[in-house]
Amino acid sequence: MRDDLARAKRIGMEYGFYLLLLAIILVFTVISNSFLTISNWAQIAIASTFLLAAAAGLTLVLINGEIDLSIGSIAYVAATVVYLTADVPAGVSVLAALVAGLAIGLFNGWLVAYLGMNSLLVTLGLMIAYRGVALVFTEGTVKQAGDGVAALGQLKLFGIVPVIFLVALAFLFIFQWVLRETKLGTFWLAIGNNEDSARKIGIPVRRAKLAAYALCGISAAASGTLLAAYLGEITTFTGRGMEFQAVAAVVIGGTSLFGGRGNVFPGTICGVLLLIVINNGLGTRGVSPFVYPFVAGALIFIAIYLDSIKNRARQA
Amino acid sequence: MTAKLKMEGVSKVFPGVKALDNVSIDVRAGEVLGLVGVNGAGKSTLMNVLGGIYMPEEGHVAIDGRRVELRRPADADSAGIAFIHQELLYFPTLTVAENMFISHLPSGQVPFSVDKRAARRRAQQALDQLGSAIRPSARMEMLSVGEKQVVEIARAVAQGADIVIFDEPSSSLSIKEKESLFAIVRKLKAEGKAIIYISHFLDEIEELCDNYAVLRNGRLVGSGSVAEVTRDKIVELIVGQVVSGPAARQRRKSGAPRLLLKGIRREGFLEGVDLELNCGEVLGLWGLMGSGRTELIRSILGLDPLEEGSITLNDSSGARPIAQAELLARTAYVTENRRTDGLFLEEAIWKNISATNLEQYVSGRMRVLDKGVEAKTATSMIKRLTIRAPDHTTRAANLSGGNQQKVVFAKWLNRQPEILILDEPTRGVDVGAKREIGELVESLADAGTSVLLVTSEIEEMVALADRVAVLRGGAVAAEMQGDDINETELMAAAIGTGAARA
Repeated sequence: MRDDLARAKRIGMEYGFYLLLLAIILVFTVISNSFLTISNWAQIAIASTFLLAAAAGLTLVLINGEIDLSIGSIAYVAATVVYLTADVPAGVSVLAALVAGLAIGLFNGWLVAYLGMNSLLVTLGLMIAYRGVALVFTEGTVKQAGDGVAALGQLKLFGIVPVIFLVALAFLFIFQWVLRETKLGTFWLAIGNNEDSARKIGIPVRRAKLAAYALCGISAAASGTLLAAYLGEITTFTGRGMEFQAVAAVVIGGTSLFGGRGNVFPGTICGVLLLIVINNGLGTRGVSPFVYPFVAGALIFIAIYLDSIKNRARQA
Repeated sequence: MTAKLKMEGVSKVFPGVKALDNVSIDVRAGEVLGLVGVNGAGKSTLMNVLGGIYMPEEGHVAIDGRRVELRRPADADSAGIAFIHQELLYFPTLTVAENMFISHLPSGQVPFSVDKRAARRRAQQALDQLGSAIRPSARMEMLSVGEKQVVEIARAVAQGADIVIFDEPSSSLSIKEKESLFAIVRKLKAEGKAIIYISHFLDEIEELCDNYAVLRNGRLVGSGSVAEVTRDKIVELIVGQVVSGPAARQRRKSGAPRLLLKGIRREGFLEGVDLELNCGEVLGLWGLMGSGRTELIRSILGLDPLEEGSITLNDSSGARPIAQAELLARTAYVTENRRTDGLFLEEAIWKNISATNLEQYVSGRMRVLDKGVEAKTATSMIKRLTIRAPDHTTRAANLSGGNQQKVVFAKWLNRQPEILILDEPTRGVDVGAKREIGELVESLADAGTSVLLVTSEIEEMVALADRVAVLRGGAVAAEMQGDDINETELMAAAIGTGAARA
């Protein structure tokens, strides 16, 4: 009897949030005529693209028990690179933006993994610094992306599915594969569980963390590049506040802030969807947009509360 | 048949001590050797030689008749030696299979990928071999302590170890889990593994082992077949010639009862403990690791669950049942580990001392703390307990172990407790401070405080306790007082030879 209860509680904690997502979608479907329509879901796909791309990489860093708050600024730096390379072919421009993200990610990872700096503080500082670097080049004004890149941003598969959304999904699936099917992914989970034990047992802790930060950098850069491509221009709002939305989505998706637990798919995808769907659904019902922060905040609170409960069970 | 594992003439010297002195043991395939001895007798050092952690100054190790050089832990691995440690090393959110093979996961077809199915299959094989029903895909955090240990053993089996060393494996297991551990040890034996089983429990040695070896002060003082020896003989070997110490000291007569425990029970750990703690006495709680000493204290103070039993407190208002939380609030509890839960290491001495009784220092309408009074209290405590520190503002972290422990005592004395519980009060403390702490405990008992003392140092128990309750298997197995409290009797009672009268 007690076992059944415990099992029910565990299942509830593990899958409850997927049920919540489903329930919310159902409620919006019932109360709003315009919610469950193809055009609205195409909207949702576009709206979630940029957060999905950034949250994918952040999930990996969180699983290591670290954090990267500079992802929003990395996105802005990448978008700025897209502007600076507006005259070269689109492919080269995109590649340059991603390489910039990789370089920043490696630098972050080096500071955290090799120099042992506290990831929360160091990436909080660098968040400001990277944005500053980008501002020097954009002079704080709106800049145009190259025509080729802007065209890529409007591509649609079968005339309906936005390609940028598929690109974001590709990141998520690749990262999920790395996490679940490779040694590197197993090492990340082990490090997140107990870094000391991982080191003792011979896991290359520093290299594994460096790799997580590198992938996170690329993923954040992809987010900025996709946004630049979609808008056809680079605004100073690129990536602003994204770090907090991304952390929220990842944690809502069941990844632990303490590390060692979580996944990209379905966790992070559903976390992002939940935030975007609520925003969208409230909009289709004509609810004041000022309600959204409250609802999102409440969700984040619940997610973090559940996370600490799970973690307590682990330490007991 | 030659021995599977042979250690010959092994000596190891540490600065100032000869930790091992010409020790020779051997184990054949399909044989279990029970290794016994008190803490500090050299068991761990001997096993660390096998584990490649220490290089012996003299002697050598041979496996299958061939000499092996064990210079680092990896050498022991490749020689087929595996250790099942007391403290398990594992990753809670990974699966059983991943935990077993984390350092050499099998590669899959796709580049970089792991062949999870192969890992699970190999894990399953190893677990089947042990007759365990644990699933390789289960997450480690879902397993009990005993099951985690089985995984550790399965890891050793999967890696092809044929010499398996169990280091006090039963000390953190419940009674039922012990049974399945024994079954596994027998299975490994039947498969022809050579096994060394370290334990304090002679009944386990009797039940599981073919041969025994006793270490004392770094020397092998006896060995042979378990079938041909009595428990009393082994106890004698373990304890050695008891040097008659100073004349038996005067032991206090018990005062009025203060705390009454009845039928304290916690599934798997405590099997109904009855205990009476009186005013003005030192009651020793004696027993081996896993006998329930610390568990009893944690349960009555509400730090662990208490499933059954009653706690009665006798104070000025008469005898009445008392809740665990209230008992905790009225008790001074000097914990086993002062660095993690005894002190605010980064804070000054005076803050550590006043922390237990802040109410006493508030003044004025705003109820602000009066630092002057706090400092005065601290200064007088420093003098009273002869804490060696420049002054009361010294950080606790900068004190020696002994002086840190005195600060812990000072912080509790500041509350003038009626009940003082001491868990390993002189661990890691130098000889001088040890004596001073002993004298302090004596003077507190003389002044009427009820002291409950847990220690694994037999000399300390003999020196301080007025009465001793011996715990075994989660229950009081014997009580001793007066001249019965001596090293031989204590050891015998803890191990369970029946020599001590119940």
